Amino acid sequence: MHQHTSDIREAPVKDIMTKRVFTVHKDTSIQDLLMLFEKHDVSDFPVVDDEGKFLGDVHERDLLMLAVEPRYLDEHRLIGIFGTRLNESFFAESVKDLMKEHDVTVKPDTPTEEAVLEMWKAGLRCIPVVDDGKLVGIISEADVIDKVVTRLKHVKPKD
Amino acid sequence: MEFLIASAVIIGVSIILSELFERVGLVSVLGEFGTGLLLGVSFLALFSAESIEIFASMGVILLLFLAGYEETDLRFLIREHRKLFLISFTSLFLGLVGTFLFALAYFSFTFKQAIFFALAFVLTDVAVGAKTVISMGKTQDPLGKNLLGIAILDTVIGLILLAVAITLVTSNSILGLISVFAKILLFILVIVTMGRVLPVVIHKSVKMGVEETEFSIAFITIFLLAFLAEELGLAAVMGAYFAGIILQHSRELESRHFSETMKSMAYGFFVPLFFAWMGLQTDLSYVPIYFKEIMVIVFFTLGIKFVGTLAAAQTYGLSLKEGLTYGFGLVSRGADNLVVLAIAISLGIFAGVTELLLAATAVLMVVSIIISSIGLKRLL
Repeated sequence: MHQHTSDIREAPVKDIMTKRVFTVHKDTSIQDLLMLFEKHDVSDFPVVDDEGKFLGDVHERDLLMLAVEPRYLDEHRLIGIFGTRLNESFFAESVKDLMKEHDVTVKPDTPTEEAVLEMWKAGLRCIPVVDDGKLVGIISEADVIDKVVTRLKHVKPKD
Repeated sequence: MEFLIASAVIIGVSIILSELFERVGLVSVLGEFGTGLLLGVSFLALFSAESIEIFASMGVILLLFLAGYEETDLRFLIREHRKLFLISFTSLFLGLVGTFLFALAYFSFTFKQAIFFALAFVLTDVAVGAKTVISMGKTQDPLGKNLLGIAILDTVIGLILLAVAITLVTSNSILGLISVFAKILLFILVIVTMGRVLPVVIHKSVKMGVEETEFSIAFITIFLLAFLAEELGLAAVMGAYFAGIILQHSRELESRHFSETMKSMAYGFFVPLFFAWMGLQTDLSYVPIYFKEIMVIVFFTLGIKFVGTLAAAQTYGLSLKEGLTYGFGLVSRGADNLVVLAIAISLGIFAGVTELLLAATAVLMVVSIIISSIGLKRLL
């Protein structure tokens, strides 16, 4: 199957990325975030500060913890193994408490394969595409999977 | 080959005991330590502490590595929670100074013994507070969050003070002190250099495509810094702690895969063996022999931390309920205290009083956890 997806691997991320990027401010409330997920029908938002600087991302999966009664969670998730970490997502009030902070970005010409490897290594589900410090798009697992699925749909089993 | 059967039995029993303790709302460290008590000289005398010593050393090294790797930025805690920092610092300061003076006066301990005695018996184990806050569904309550903030600060500041204390005890004179500070400078230089070089090395190594390279590099860093710390007269675990702080900022190691795998390895095997190892060394037959001393230690160290925290909370204008909550939250003792005790014993500081202090720690842990849990459940 890999031979049918070689051009996807080599394609620059600008051909696959989502160009219309909606961002959220780090101080956006959780309630507003929920509405924004619904409104824009996306699974992930890049998070920015007052100056529009990229700080990380917040994924809809980050909301999963809110679906679990805190009493079912292990105390080490709250304070770390030795009690040196305060997990702010337990007390989430705004985006900054839920988001994953990181500075992993790719350029528009980065090959898709490299972007996917970056996502795996950093444990991210999407990476912002930045050109000259400006956010020009976002490439997500879903973008790449869509491309791969579309391609493989037309491949006959014997191929 | 005693270590094979000892490890298998100890891990098995600790799973059962920890589950039992968890079910009655107590922290798992009691189950792991209790396993050592049950299988060691105190009861069944099946295994010696020596049989699992290497694994136990790895346990405390991994525990301290994860403490550094997961550590919340102290500057952030101070900036965002200034009042909590002041309360935590004041409470810890009063507790340490009071216990230090008590150890000098009551037990006629040496200066070094008194320093480590204070650290081993005053630091808070946050797990009890966290468990209570979670079990009562109080994570959205500001009081619950603030309590954990204070207790975490207690641990983080305690680790810094521990590093300073280890530095002090490795010198015997002014000349020795200068030599120690030269070694510390060398150690800091190595840490700063590694902090700059390692992220690049890890980034390049991961790109090479060798499987799980980030784990290999992490372990090389932990072992090298632990070895260097030991060679410089500091404790190996402090090297592991600083390795954690350095690697915290490596992009490749930020992934959930790395963090979860390290925790599984630590908590699935090595860390329970460390706590059990401390239990194996503890002989409860010393409790009746040193009953008076142990009771004095337990109630003095719990009392001074409770009163110190309450006084600090009142001084900074908090309500009586807040002061009492933080007081009960900070009296719990457990993992942190066992680690400090293990370090002090390994440095030979408690020679002659090891049995007394191990037995006192066992009693202190049980009493403090019960008092803390009951107090917090009434106040939260």
